[in-house]
Amino acid sequence: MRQLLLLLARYRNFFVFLMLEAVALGLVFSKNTYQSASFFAFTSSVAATWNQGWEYFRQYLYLQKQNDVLAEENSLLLKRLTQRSRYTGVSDSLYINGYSFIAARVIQNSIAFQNNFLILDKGTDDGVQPGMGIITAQGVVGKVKSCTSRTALAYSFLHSDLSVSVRIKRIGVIGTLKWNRTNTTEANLLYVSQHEKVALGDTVITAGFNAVYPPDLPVGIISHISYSGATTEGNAFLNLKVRLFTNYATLSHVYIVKHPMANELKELQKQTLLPQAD
Amino acid sequence: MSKFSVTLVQLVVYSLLQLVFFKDVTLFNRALCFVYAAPLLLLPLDTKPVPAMLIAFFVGFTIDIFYATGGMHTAACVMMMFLRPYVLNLITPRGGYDLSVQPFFHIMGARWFLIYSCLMIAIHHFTLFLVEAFTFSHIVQTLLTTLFSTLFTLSVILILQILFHKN
Repeated sequence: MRQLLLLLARYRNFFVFLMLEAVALGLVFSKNTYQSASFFAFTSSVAATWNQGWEYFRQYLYLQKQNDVLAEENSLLLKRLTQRSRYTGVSDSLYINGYSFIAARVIQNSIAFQNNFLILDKGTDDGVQPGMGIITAQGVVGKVKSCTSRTALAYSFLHSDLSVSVRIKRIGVIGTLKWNRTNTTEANLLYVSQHEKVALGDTVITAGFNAVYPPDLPVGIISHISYSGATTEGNAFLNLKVRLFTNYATLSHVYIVKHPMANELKELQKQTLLPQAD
Repeated sequence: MSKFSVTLVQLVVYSLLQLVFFKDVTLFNRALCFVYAAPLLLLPLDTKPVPAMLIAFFVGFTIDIFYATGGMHTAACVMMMFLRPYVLNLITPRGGYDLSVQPFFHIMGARWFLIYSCLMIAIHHFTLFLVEAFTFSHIVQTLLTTLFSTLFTLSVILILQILFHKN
């Protein structure tokens, strides 16, 4: 016993170090498991107030720029509204059960890490649920990870776990869009076969399979094509890079996507063995 | 003012600086600045490792709360303070240390301070980005981010030292 105590006393620095590191890493992992939001809920009551207050002050500096973005978006929506108006009066389930959007502000954002997160100023009180998609008019922003009553923690698209089902607009071919970890303006388009006639500059839009993101939302354009042997299980795929429309460094106003059938679709997709992408 | 209260003021001021300003700064989409580590570097040289690690733990934990990053900063700060005695041993100046002082730029000399802070910040940033990526398969990315961020943080710390800590 005495020997043990002496040993502990002699290497106390190392043991204290191990203990503190264990606590720290424990905090990292309790946060990173998908369902557990307990630590976030605890800390957000302190941090969200601070971040929110600071962000509201900071946004005054960017009001002009934000006005431009919102005006642009308004004009786009007006254009869509006029296209849509000829269907008014038709009670189609397509419009009744369709997507709705919750406007939110980004109160914290990061881009320099390999797994980036966002914090938004809307939570369960506003109808936000884990698993909902986040978009702007310029493309996909991310996906809600966990919520408290007033705030939501979300995976940024710049996160190594997030992938999005997309379609090349001109030829209708589907693929999976995933960030390449190196460049915040570029992503890889995976699983497009080598015989497809893809061209530089083709627009990439969301496929909307899971009702996480709405379909036909432009995400980016193809900026690089090569045939250099990306093979998976004998299938030869193209090596495609996509230049993203969204500027992740200046995100401010975003929309959280709500779909009444999102959970049902997710349950159905769990029964398949296909690679999971939203 | 006692040594302890000086350190406490430094901790509060640098943490506030981090949370108010440097939290929103990213250079070239790559380099981050974690200037809140500066008062940990500047702890008096006779601080024992255990109290130093405890201080680092609380500083890291506070930053983690505001960054919503779990325990990443905590892990990095504790690692940095654990390795501090070894770094200090490695670069002992001729004639040894004056243990009662804080290792400021103007006291320890430019060469010593540069080597010391460069090593310490590199340890902190590498731990931080490694825990964040949590994989060795993208080690090149991690190392690049560490390199650029270390240069960024080091420059900011040097500028602040020269501007505000000069007697």
